[in-house]
Amino acid sequence: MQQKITRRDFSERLAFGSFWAAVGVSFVGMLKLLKPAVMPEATTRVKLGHPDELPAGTERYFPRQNLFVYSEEDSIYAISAICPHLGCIVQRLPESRFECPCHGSKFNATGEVFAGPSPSGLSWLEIRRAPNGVLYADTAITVPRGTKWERA
Amino acid sequence: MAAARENYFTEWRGAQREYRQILLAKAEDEAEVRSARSFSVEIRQVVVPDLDRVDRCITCHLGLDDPRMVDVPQPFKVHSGPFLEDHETDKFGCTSCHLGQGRATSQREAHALEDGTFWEQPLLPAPFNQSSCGVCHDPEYLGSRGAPVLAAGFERFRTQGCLGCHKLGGRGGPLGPSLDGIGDKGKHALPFAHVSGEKQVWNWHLEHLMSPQEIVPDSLMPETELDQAGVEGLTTYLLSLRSSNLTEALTPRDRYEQRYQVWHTPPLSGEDLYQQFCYACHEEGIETVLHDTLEVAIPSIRNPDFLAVASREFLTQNLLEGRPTTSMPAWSPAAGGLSDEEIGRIVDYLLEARQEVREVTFVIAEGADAEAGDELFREECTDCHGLSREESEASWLGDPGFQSSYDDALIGHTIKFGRIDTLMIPYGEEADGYLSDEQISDLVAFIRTIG
Amino acid sequence: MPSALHRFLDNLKRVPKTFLGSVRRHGKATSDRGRSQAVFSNLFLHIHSVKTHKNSLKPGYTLGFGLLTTVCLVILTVTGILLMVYYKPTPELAYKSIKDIHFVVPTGRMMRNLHRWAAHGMVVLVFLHMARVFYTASYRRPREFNWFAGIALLALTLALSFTGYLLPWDQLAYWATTIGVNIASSPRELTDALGITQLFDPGGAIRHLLLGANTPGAEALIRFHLLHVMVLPILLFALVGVHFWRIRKDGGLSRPESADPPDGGGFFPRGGNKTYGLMAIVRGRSPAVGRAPENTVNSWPHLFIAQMAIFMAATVILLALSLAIDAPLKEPANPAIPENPAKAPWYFLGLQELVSYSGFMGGVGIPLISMIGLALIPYLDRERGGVGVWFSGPEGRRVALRSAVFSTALVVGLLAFAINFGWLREWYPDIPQLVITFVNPGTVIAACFAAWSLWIMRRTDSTRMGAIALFTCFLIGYIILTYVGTVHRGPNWEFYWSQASWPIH
Repeated sequence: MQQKITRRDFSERLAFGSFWAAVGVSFVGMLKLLKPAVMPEATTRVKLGHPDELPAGTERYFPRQNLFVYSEEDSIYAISAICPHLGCIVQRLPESRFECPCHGSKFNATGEVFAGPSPSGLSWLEIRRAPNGVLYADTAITVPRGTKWERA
Repeated sequence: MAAARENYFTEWRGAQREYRQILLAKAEDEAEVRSARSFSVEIRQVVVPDLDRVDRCITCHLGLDDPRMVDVPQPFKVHSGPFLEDHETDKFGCTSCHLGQGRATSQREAHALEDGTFWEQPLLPAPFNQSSCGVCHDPEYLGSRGAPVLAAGFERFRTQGCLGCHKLGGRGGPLGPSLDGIGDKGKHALPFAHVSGEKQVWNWHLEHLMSPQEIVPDSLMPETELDQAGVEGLTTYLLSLRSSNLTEALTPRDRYEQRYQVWHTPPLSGEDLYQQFCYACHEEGIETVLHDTLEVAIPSIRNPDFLAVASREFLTQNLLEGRPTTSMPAWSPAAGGLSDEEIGRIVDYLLEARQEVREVTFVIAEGADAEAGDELFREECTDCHGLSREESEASWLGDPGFQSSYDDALIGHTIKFGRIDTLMIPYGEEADGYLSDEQISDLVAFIRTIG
Repeated sequence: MPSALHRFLDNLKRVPKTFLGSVRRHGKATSDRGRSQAVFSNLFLHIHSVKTHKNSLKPGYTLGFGLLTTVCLVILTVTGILLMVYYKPTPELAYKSIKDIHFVVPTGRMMRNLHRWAAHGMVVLVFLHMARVFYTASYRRPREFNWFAGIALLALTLALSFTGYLLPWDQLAYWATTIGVNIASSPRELTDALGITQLFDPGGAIRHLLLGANTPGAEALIRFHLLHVMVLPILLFALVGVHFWRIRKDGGLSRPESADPPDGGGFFPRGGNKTYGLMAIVRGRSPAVGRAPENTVNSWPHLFIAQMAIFMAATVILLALSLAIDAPLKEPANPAIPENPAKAPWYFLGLQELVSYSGFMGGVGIPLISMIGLALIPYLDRERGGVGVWFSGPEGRRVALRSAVFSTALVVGLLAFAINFGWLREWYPDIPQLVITFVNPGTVIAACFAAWSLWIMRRTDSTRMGAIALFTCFLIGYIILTYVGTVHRGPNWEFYWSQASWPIH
């Protein structure tokens, strides 16, 4: 037999339900406050240059923005020089390795950590092409290891 | 308990009570006695918001501006010299000049000289406190105005050619680290592992200037051969190269003038420029310099023999482009930071040492044979001029700068006639040597293939 | 009948008396009955039951750890509020305001030191309290939820300590926070290895939530300050309230069965499972001198005296420490010069040691597993016996001792191996990060602990023994790792026998 629900129970459930729904929605709204819409730091875009200025087989280091840029035949990619452990700047060693002078974290050619206290590898950074054709890297946007910008 | 500790056992309370006794002892009339009796024991501080200073030094240094306090023990002595007349503590605080930890209320923490006080800018001892004058003032202006050590150091800096290897304000050589903000470097930014004396920043500079390789093991910096006074002066000047938060209102007149002078600078003479940028490696430039740390022979660019055949274009080109494989930097505006006019003035200065002009008359013989030249080169030249950069104690002849600025005739001429007062002896038969013009031509042909 | 004016003046004169009389809803606390009434009707004293079991007052039973923790909390709150009068939470002013507190604020130095020592004390005591509650099996029914609340309080205590650590904005604070936040963002290690970071990035989300930016700065300081002085304390006090209230509702502190004579001592009827205390004492005499039903005594005076004594003793010790040793403050924070070694606060150094092998496991994985494991203890061990007795008896003592020895040997051995010979990457440089994440000294130790406790559980056929084994292993392991991280790790996180042999910079 179908169980009837009284009008009273129904309106009670409706009342409480809408109350909790309202609380929930406002709570979610409040949570959004916590994530900043803009980061309070200086711009993170780095001008790399026109793709023609980055011929295949070259490596460039940008000391102020702390990143390495590698150019290959058909792609370009950028690796951050900031050690994820404490923010020291890693040094480039021969044999395509990086080492952090602060606590000895060592990274291989693609930035993966293989020794030392760093909790993760060197970040790969996003490269984008501006409408005027110039390439920019963004030190605030990390991409998965191995993501490269493809030359057209 | 805290109250007890603060009210009975603090250092500064004891000092202030002692000072009150001194005031009473020195009081000469009723008014002075009364003010001595009413001297209150409390923390005293100077707050200067413009310079971001909160200095509590006067909690103990109570007689700072009292001219009677001459024969009393520290910390009660009156401030030495006439400095407070133009630099009242109310306007500048104390730590602007003396450094130290202004907010502290005990001697140990305020002076911050000991380990465990964790303050990056400890009290500057004399004469290094003169470096603070250089933060606001033009050092040259201060020679007779209270900062002689600083002025002497500045003078030394400009005549020892330090900028030949170090950059300051974007101008200088690339071999050593730039000196911008070097006065800001605290204990943690400098390598103290080999410092034998006090582990303080001024001592680092002192020891480093005396003997660079001892403090920085693989340093290329040569020994300065300065005496204690010279090293102190340079240290004081280096310490003055630190950042400051000078507002327009606080900039002194001499600095103001100096700042505007940059736009309308009376040009530095060629000699001044040579002393600032070239002297460290080339010294007087008449003879070859055998550099101990760079381990090369440095050409004598004011040698009359050299200048006799060096054209203005030749000298200018060498200055602009340098020698890429050597320690001779490029001095063009984009590289070493010298303007084209300044380079012109240096060339003028070099040419002043020219005593005569000789034409280069050497003629390369036809059919010059590089292979024969190879054999000759290995016999005659490799003692000094190696085949590779590492083997060359004298100029490496494969250097692109050398190759592009010397034409064949000039190379031949130099081999034939040598250079007086240098290690390059004449090799030509007609000079005091034994090689024929054809042989020299072979050498030239071979030299062109090096590098 | 005197006139209205008379009455009015009379009332006016008697205001002090009538006012006080209205506040107090009970008689004067000069008799047993009055005192019992006072405890019952006063809002604050009402936290306590009117009667306390004798066993709860035995020093050797609880060792007063819970109370000591509360004492530290009180001292922290009071000194914390005082410090807030002068502390300014911006990077430009924070360090300077602490210098001023130290040098010029009257009693400032003392208050700051007290705050620091009470904070250290509270973290230590919270662990000791948890150990006591565990080893006396006081988490059993009906106290499971109180244990759970306690674990939550442990997390809150650590969070409070960590957020407070950043506030001085000196080198110690800045770099410890950088490490801490990097550890918290270590889920990136896992999402990167799985290649899903673009879609799901909890590591980055936590980082932005904590820092309000990409690197520690003004935003981070304000957020940590807000957490430290308002959000976390509110949560803490609410949960502490629940924690104390549950003690009452669950029948007071746990006690062994032997603490209650089996027949009520012949004087009183069997107690049963009453969850409320008696409110009044029957007038007249009874043959049970100095004893009340269910082996209890009056809270006022017995419990209160004990509490006050402990409060004073703890305060004296903390004051002595604060007089003698200053809270540390190093150079102002300088993002350009990292501390080397940069160490997290001491209670996280064990974690930092694990983090040096794998960021994710050491920073997120193992702590989470430990916390969840701790929280689940009362639900996994539901045996009945052994409550109120340390180690639940001689067998428990044996298991604990053996587990301690096992844990010591395992941790020291594995650490020695890793320090001397390195780990997988030394021999297989191209090994994928995911393997390291799951096979590193931290996970190996945890797995061995689990295996050991399973073995004990089978051998003794008791979940309690298994729990004792696991808890002891983790406790000892945590202590050893913290010790190694504190004493034996120097610049570059290299191993040194002592600080004297650290290289000079």
